This record gives sequence, structure tokens and C-alpha cells, in this order.
Amino acid sequence: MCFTVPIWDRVEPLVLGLPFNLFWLILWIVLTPCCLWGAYRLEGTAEHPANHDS
Amino acid sequence: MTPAATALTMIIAIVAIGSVVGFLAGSRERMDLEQWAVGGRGFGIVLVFLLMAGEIYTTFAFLGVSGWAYSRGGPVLYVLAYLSLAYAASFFILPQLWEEGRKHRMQTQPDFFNTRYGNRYLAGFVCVVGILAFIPYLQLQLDGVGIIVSVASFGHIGRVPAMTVATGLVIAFVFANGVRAVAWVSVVKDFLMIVAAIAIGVGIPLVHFGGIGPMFAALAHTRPAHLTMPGATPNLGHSWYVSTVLLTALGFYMWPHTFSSTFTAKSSDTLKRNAIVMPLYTLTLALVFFAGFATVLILPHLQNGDLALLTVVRRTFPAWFFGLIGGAGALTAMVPAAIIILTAATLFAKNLYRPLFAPSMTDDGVARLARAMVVLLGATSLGFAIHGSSTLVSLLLTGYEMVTQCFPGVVLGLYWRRATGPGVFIGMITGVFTAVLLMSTHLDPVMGLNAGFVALCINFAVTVTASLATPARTPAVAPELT
Repeated sequence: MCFTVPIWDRVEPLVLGLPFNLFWLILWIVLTPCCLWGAYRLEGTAEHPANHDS
Repeated sequence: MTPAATALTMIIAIVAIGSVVGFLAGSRERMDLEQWAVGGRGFGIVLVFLLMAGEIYTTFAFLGVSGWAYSRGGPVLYVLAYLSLAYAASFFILPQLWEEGRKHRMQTQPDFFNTRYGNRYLAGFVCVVGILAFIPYLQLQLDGVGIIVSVASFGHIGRVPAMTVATGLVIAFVFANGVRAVAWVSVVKDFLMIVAAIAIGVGIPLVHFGGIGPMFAALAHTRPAHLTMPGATPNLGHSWYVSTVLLTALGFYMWPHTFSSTFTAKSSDTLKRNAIVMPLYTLTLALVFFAGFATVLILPHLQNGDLALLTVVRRTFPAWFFGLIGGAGALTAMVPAAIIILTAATLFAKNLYRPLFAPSMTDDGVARLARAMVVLLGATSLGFAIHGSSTLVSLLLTGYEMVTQCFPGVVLGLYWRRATGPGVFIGMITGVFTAVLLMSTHLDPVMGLNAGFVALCINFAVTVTASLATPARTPAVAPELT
């Protein structure tokens, strides 16, 4: 993660009218919940009964 | 009525309504709203989304971010990155913290340190760090009010009178009934802010450039370097960006009030679902970025970047709209300011002073001391605000550089059995000391990295080393993993 910044910190190509770096960050704001939700589902299959609200 | 008079009247009216109606019961309103939203009740999903998004529009988010977009350019993008990371980290760490909190009846951050490490002095020190970090945070809220009023009045009403009155009001709220936000005052404010954000984020580029795309195209054409890092700065490059994102993502839940809000969650599952959904609300922050970057081309030679957005709004929209936004903005600054002051004052009296210096103090005594602290903290922050000249973002980062020093103690405490009180204490002292030293000697960034981040790394290293060097003890809080 840390070392990829120079790769995406650029203006071109403009995507959806946005500079690429802005677009990239916005994209990841959308992807993060997807990843977390995936983690949530994976954890759910490994039973943690103490954590479920009854 | 002149535009200035119209705008100011609206602002005063909104603030007055907010003040008069006052703050009645409804503590932990934000957490409840989140839990309700995430609980998937289904009712008024759009409404709930609007409100949650509105909560994201703090003084920092609205004025600070646009201010930095104007004056620094690319580096401000860290704000878009750190929130998602903070929520991602919280997904894994907060449930554990919640469990321990439930088992040991913890309510505050010092409680955690006291229980896990059995050391009241460490807990007291954590209080001190929290309070120190709160001061720039408070300063930023007061600055925000000063900015709003001075722009609304076209410079006729200075920042100083505006900030002084705001401070007085905040202190009065807290004294009147120990601040808790009224549900609908918060709701109205949130609603106003999100409407403002949409109007401004879409409207300003539209009016001045014909749209967001054309605006960025123009900026990319005339000042492309402004859009990437280091933007308009000589030293805020990629390594600064990464270190700052890490610092703020890890520090996000280390603020005393957000830390303790974890303990009020209904279940650790709620915390997880929260973490999953919350990043989506931060999407609306992009609107501030659009507006902020637009101001670069509209108003090229502004001294104080933090004024940029409001100045452009004043130019683009009718005075009553500006007044509406200004009023909402002022409330957005004063409500958290009140909560922060109360949290800090209570922490001081209950978790620092009484346990360490006056164990037999009555609850009444604590309350009186807390009130005295409210005035002291308010006055101190006002003093700094009047004499300081930092940007809003710099102020928040200053707070972060201190508060994140609590992170090693928390995360190692939860996951590493071998972490000891003395170890954490020494590490934290080193971290805070390093951060303060670097910041006061203007060595921030240092070696291209955020000073607080460097201090955090040193903190971690010292904590681990010192923990290993001090005798192990069986912690009352048993970490799940070793």
C-alpha cells in the first residue's frame, strides 16, 4: 500500500472528469466497505457466539 | 439590507435558535444514530443517509479541507484516504476493545489503561495527553467561527470578537446543562450541511466553469502540479502523505470522546457493521474537494486559504443562502466544541485530579473542578486561537500527533500479553515528547515524514523494548491473541 502512491498520484488520465488521484481515492472509498463486508462474512462462518447480539 | 447584514442576521438567528432550544437529553446521539442507521431498519434510508453524511461535515471537513485544497493542493488528499482506513482498522480492533470494556465496566480511555496496566499514573498521563490534544482541536473550532463571521461581514466584524463571543456561548452551554445535543438541533444542522455541501460542491464548479469535469480540466491545464503531491508545498510529498494517513487512521479512535463511544455500542457486531458502512458516508466529502479545488482558479490571491471556500460561496450565492450555511457552520463548530470542553474537563477532574491528588473528593467537588476547567480550557483555546495563525488542517494534525501516541498502549494492550505498564508509560512519554519537540522546532515533516508518525514509531519501539525489559505481570485484561 505504502509504496504504490507514486503510481496513482497523477492527474492524467482524467476519469469521469476527475484527476486520476482523486478518482483512485474515491474508488477505494467505495471498495473498502466491500472488502470489509467480505471480511465480515468470512468471520461469520468462523463462529463467534459471544459476539452475536441476541 | 446589505448582503453582510442579511448573512449575519441569518447566522445569529440560527445560532440563537440552537442555543435557546438548548441541549436537552439525548446523549450519545451520534452513536445511536449510527447504530440505528446500520441496524438496517429500512425506514427513511435516504433521510438517514443525509443525516449521517451531514455529521461528517465538521468545521475541519468543510473549511479546513477546502482551505488546504486551495493553499496546499495535492497533500490534502490524505483526508480522503485516512477515514476509510480508520474504519477498516476499527473493524478489527474495536470489537476486542468493546469486549474488554464490557467485562471490566470501562467507560473512558483512562479506565482502559488503568484496568489493563494497573497504573493510575499512566491513566492520568493518558488524560493529560488527551487534554493537550484537545486544545488545538478546540482552537480549530473557534477559528472556524471566526472565519465564518468575518467572511459574512465582509471583514467588518473581526475574528477576535466573533471567537470571543463563541467561546462565551460554548462555556455558557456547558454550564447550563452539561451539554448533550438535542436530537433535532443536530438533525437540522446535519441536514443543512449536506444540502450546503451538495449546493456548493456541484454549484460552484457549475456556475464558474460549467461543471465539475470542465473545472478539473481547466485546473489540469493551468496548474497541474497543484493537483498532485507535493502540490503547492515544498515538503509534503508522498512519504509525508503515507505517514500522515497512517498517523490519522490509527489515531482516529484514540481521541478520548471517540474512544469512549466504543463502550456505548450495543454489541461488538454493531461496531463491525458500523465500520463496514461508514466509509460510504465519507464519499460526500468529495464535494468539498470539488469546491475547494474550484476556488483555486476563481480566487487566485487569497492570503488565508481557509477563507477561500466561504469567500467564493459569498460571491456565488445570495446572501440569505450564505447566512444559512454560515449559521449551520457556526453550530457545526460550537456543538463539538462544547462536547470536547466538557469531556476534557470531566476527564481532568474525575480521571486525573481526583484519583491522583484528592481521592476523597466528593462528586460535587469533582463537578465544581470540572466547571473551573471548562472556563480554563475555553480561555486557553481562545488565547491560542487569537494569537495563532495555523491553518485548520495543521491544527487538527497537531492534535493527532499527540493523541495517536496512545495507540501503542491500546493495541499492544489488547493483543500482546507481555505489554507492561511501565513499558507503555515510557513509550508514550517518549512519543509525546518527541512529537512536541519536533513540532515546536518546526521539524515537521522530518525526513519527509510526518513528525507525529515518526514519534509513533519511536513510541512503539520503546514500548516493546521497555515492556520486555520490565517484569511481566498477569494482566487483568487477558488479550485474546498472544
